[in-house]
Amino acid sequence: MAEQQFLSQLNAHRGIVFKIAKLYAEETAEQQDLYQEMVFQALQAWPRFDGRSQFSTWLYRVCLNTALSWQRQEQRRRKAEALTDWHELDDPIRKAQTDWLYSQMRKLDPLSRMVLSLKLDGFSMNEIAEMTGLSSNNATVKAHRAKQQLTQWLQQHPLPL
Amino acid sequence: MATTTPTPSIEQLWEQLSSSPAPAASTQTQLEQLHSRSNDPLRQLRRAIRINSGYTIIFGIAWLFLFIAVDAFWVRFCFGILLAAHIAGLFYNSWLLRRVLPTPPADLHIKSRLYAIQLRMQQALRGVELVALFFYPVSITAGFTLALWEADKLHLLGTELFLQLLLLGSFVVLVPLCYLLTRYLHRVAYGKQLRALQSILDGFEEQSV
Repeated sequence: MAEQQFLSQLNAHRGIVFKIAKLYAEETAEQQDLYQEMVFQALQAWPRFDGRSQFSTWLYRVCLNTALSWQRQEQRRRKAEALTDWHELDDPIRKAQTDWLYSQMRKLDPLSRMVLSLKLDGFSMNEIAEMTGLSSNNATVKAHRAKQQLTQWLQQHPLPL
Repeated sequence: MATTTPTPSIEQLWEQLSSSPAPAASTQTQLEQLHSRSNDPLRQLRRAIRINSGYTIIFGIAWLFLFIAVDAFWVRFCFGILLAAHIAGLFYNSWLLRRVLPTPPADLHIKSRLYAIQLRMQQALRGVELVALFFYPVSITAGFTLALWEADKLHLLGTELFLQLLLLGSFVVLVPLCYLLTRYLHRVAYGKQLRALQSILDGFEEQSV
């Protein structure tokens, strides 16, 4: 019952998990591995979710926590068939653009990636500071620098349009 | 062919990325994800501690056998200490597994959780290194007295200066060597992970101007 409740909430916000997996892992197999780990950690923490914050905010925190402490496993890979429905975008231009953004964001350091993704998803600097433990000033500077860096890369490497 | 379409901004690209359909998973896949085993950073350490406990039990049985089989006070005394140390080691491992190494919940404050993971890893590794430091001299002495007993020369340990110096020399050479080897192996196994954590934690403390 609790699992079903969790799954229905998760299904509505799968995009967050998917996005963070792509931001913190490079290869598809690793992304799937991280995705699975984030879902697992979210289920473990689910009994503690008291509804005081939105589920999406809570899930964001769980996923970022997991992603930041996650280590690529060289020897062990989970079975590929467990996530066969992991799919990519059909539109080649959109896919190229999103792939570009993911790959460029992966060049940023993990904390800048975290702050920038939270900021782009509409979190205020105070919310980011509260969620992460960064000072508001540090978070603002990291977000600003990261965005500046991305914009510069965007100008240097034109996107497929 | 040149295009006149303006380059999208970062916000537009992000919006596009956010509106991309997330992969739809079947119930079967979802259940597999829910019941998969975790791969969190402390898991590797928990596994190592469990393996260590397994070896402790195997060696403990061997020491118990020698304790019973060898009819010489000093050999029994050393193996008795070694056995007691192994039992204490098992309790210590169990304490580490229950108190130090459980993974902190993933919905904690991000910085606090990362600090907790780092602290738990360092505490467990340091603990294992210090316990090992106690084990080595006892093991060396036990092995030394057992070898002398086999050669029927155990009584010489109390009188022969050469044997006493040899035992002392074994301590001086082997104890630091084994300790450094343990630290080196820990560094090889967990160093990369700890350095990555440290680098992220340094980022939290940066004073941005």
